[in-house]
Amino acid sequence: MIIFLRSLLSPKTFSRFAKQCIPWLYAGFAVFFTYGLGGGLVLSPPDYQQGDAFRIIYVHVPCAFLSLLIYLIMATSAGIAAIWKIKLADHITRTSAPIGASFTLLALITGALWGKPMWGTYWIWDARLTSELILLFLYLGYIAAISAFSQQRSAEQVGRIIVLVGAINIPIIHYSVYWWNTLHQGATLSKLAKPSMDAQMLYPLLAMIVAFFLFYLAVLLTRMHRIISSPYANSATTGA
Amino acid sequence: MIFFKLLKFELLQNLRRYNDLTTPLWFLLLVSCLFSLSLQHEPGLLQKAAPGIIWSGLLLAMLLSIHQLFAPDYQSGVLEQMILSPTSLVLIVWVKVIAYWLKTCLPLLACIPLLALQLQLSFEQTQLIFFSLLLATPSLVLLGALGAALTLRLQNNNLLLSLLILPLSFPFLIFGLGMTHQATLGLPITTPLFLLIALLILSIGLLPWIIAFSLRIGINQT
Repeated sequence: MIIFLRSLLSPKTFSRFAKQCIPWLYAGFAVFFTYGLGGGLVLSPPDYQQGDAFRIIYVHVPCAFLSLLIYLIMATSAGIAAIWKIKLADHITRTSAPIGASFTLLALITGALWGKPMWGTYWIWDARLTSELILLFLYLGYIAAISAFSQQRSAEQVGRIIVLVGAINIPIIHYSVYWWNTLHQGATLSKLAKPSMDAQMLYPLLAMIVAFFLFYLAVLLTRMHRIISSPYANSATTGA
Repeated sequence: MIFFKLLKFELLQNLRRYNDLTTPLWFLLLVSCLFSLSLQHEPGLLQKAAPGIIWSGLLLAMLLSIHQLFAPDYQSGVLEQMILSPTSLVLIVWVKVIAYWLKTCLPLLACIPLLALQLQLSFEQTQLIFFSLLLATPSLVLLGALGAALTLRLQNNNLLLSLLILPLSFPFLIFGLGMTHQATLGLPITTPLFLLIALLILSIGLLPWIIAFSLRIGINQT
């Protein structure tokens, strides 16, 4: 097992392994997505307070969850890359960033669409909304920074520092925003009255989260496979 | 001691380029004029928005000038010598940051009473803004220095630097403005004050080493 895992660290083996995984990941995504969508949109009853409008939760919550999770994955692999100098970890950080940014953007958009019928406004400077927006800026800053460097090596090294500093800052930002918001406006508009979820609603939601995560993995592996196996990137990874 | 020698050298060098020194001041004054003029038809609003205007103006004035922190040394090759020299790089980073704070932030802070006159702030509010900025500017300079070190090798890096650093500076803004806001409500200001101090300690403890590391990264490859 350990030998297998170690062999995965070489980009070539990883690329081959990724190629085998991708169809399975997409299949798993299709299964969970179908169940989640069907269960969420058809089978589960409408919310007693929000009616059918609550069903956007099946897209919104997985997006928001993944936007944070992907940053966590990026930070972890950036740390691994910084300590053990593993090329693969840098690839993971790099290819995850645009996916994470798009999930963050989707979470913001679906949240705005949900906010309009529920709160009467597309946008409010609520704690969660604000920290999600700042998270988007962190992603964009990282992407802008690594694409500004023409050399892959310095882009990777600078990227690691940016991601790690951002990861230290995320909890600080979150709590500062939370604190500021509670000070300013209290409970005027924000915070849905959240009924503890019924199993009929909960399971499709969990299935959707799993489906989105599998989708992320599938996209990540596809992109990494392409980057590693392309002749240009290969020369950059080996030659430096 | 080498620390004070370096600091003296750094300050002298900066004082001789006094154009760089005054530009952030004019920028800050202009920003406040801009807001005063654009809000002049709504009298009460200006006074309410004043702390936010001063804070964001100062933040922008600092960010727009901080790329000069390492860039001249990098271009002239002095930075490489600093890294090669037996003196610890962290010490040099400290000298740079302190010199920058003394030459840019101190004049900006000295401008605050003038801005307060312009924006019709009361004495107590001005005091609070001054102290919150006094506590926050060292951390903000350290953050900016990190951005400057990371974007060292890029020309025209100003926008990228702001994109990297501004999201990280939100907590300082929130706590700093929280202080004035608490005070206007008549509440104790200890919570935001202590949080600002905690952030200051955190950035003093962590950032110089990260900055030194980033500088090495910036130099080591060509």
